[in-house]
Amino acid sequence: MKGFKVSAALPSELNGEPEHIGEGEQHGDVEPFPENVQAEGSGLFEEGELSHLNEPLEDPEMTKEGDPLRLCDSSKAGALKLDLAQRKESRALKKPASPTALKSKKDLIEAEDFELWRAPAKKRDSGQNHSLSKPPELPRIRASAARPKFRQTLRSLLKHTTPAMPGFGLTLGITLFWLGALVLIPLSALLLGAGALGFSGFWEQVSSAQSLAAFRLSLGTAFLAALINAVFGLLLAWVLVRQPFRGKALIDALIDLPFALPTAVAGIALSSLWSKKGLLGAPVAAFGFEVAFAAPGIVLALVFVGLPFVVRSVQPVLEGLDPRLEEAAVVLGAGHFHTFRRVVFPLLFPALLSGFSLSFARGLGEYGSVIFIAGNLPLKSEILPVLIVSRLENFDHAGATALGAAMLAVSFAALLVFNLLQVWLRRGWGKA
Amino acid sequence: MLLNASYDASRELYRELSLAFADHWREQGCGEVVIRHTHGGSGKQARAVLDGLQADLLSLALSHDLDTIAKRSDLLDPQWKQRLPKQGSPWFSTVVMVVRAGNPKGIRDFDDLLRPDVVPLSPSPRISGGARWNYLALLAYFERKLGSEEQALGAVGEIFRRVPVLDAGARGAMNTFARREMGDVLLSWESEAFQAQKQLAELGLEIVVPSLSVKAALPVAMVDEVVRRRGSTSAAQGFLDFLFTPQAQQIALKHHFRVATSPALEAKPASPFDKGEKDSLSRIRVNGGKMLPDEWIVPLELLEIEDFGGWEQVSRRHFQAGGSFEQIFAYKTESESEALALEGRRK
Repeated sequence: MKGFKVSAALPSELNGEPEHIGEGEQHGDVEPFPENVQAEGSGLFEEGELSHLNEPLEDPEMTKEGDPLRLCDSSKAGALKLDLAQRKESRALKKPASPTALKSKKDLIEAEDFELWRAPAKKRDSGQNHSLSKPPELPRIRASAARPKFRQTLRSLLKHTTPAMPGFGLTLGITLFWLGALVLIPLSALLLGAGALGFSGFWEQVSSAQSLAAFRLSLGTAFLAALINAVFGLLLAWVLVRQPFRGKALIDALIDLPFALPTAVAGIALSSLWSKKGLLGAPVAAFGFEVAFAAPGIVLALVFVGLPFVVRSVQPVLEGLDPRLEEAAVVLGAGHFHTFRRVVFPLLFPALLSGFSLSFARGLGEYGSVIFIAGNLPLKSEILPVLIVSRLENFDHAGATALGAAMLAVSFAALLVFNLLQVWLRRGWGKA
Repeated sequence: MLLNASYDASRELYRELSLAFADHWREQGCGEVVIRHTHGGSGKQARAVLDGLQADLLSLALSHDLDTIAKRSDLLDPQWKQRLPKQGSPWFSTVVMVVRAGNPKGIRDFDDLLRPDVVPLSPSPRISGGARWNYLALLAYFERKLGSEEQALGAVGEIFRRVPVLDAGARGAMNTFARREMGDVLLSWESEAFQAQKQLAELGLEIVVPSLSVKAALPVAMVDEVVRRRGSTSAAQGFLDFLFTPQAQQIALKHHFRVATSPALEAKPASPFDKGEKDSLSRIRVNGGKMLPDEWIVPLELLEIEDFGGWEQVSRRHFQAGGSFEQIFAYKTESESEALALEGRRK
């Protein structure tokens, strides 16, 4: 039995779980993924966990064996202990262990620290069950609360499982039509235009030194700007939600200004502020830094236009976050940093990621503000949209569409990865 | 009602011309006519017309843009140049240099741009169609001065490599130069330079006219397909004819466009690279805005696009992907380009 190998690596699973299975609770919660059972020795915690949940459906032997104690092996007690700690921790902090959490030695020690911290509870549990090796009242982790494997998320995404709202067919139809008319048709026209070049022509356009430099600059500055926005946007959202102060409404309204301002105005304002003679550019230039008309200027402009995305993505999630969660964590002994890292951050992360990817996408396509603050020097401070416009200025439609299509592919790939990552994380942590 | 699709920097000129034409049309007893305008980069306007913008009239910055429309569609008669006097261009401009108050770097001609202490500024010839004339003006000047196109390209490359910011348009570059105080010399169209001198009077910008530059013809045409469909042929033709009348030419002169009927232009330009001429200050215009309509004109030798082989060839040779302009930036560092030049010499 192949699945057994996986389970054998984590014997605690087998110890505890048949009880649950006997109760038949899990069956409704998780879909069986037979191939998962066959995945051998990947060592991922969740994999073992999920596969054993499915196992009884596959394997009559297990149910026959009935008594979990028979599978118990003293040599595996350590693993059990760890496992217990892990589960308790995840219950206490409403966060399941990450699949990699147990991989490093440092984490092992950390997990044991938690075990000590939770010691009284453990004693009580074991007292009730009169056995150290028998898992006492294992916290029942619903399969959906554990973070599922990425592939499984993908599968369940593709397979629609939730019951549809009334009029599902109609709404889905409108959605597809709308997306098709507004997004897919123009984009496929773009691809067709690029296709006219043929592969070698396309490749020539895309792989020229200037295109590559522009790609690098566009992707690099957009990524950096999104990263900066993620850090400071989170901070801003935090202050706006959790700190009471006068004039909060004003600050809150200010956040949206970059949305409302024409980007060209932003670009001109930033370039006048940060040029060598500008109010802020002059002191910086004294230290030998050049902001306007160089890469830092581009990042600055992109940070400006992308900031609201992060704040507005994180804010509502933060507002909905029960402060009692943090209080509970603190009461249970976690420090501020620990509370943030293990409780708050995981809950905010999907929203933060969504804000990050919006900000990144916005930055990648930004033209209006950047042309005024970038130097537009080929190979040095020329972003891809500028290169595309310069192709158009030459009536070189094919070249422009080739670059456009390549940019589209790259940004679509990036957004897809961010979105899948986000869905995957939300499935795991969203329940908490 | 007519729609005139025009390039960016002609806003003030065409506003005045349209009003004058409306009066003129009324006086002729042809009824009321209103001309509306859309302004944008010359290439962008051409693409808009190709994509279906219903403009009756085109007044663009490059004859190449009109040729492209004629070539790629049936909207415009390919022989549009022959239908009007002066090859369809009622006036033209040229490329001059704008310097700061008092001309602190002592700029006299294009060759001063090669001096290491002079930082040149220009919009990008790749993004701005009008800025292609800047590139060509330098190329023509250095070709005459140095003798060969190869050497001229080297000198022009040297200059453009030192440009700190290649703005997307002429007005953006003027802003970078005047307000952000980047660079010592701005290459600009003459009409734009005088306009900036007038509007930014407090900065005291000065204009230095080189001894040799280009004749940037500003062509006009009507879009045959559109006027036929809209039944506006007579008004459109009337407007085009009006542009060549003395009245319209005076208006253009007032806006610092050069017109061929000006007596100042008929004076024989001094021979370029004439030492005496170069040392005099007669090429510098300090306060063009207050000058009489044609006092601002400095005679100089002008090359037309045909002298470069026509736009088609110029575009292919210099501005398309892989053209000479891109090759200026093909090497990241100057040492790299020097190393390559050395290698070339050895071969």
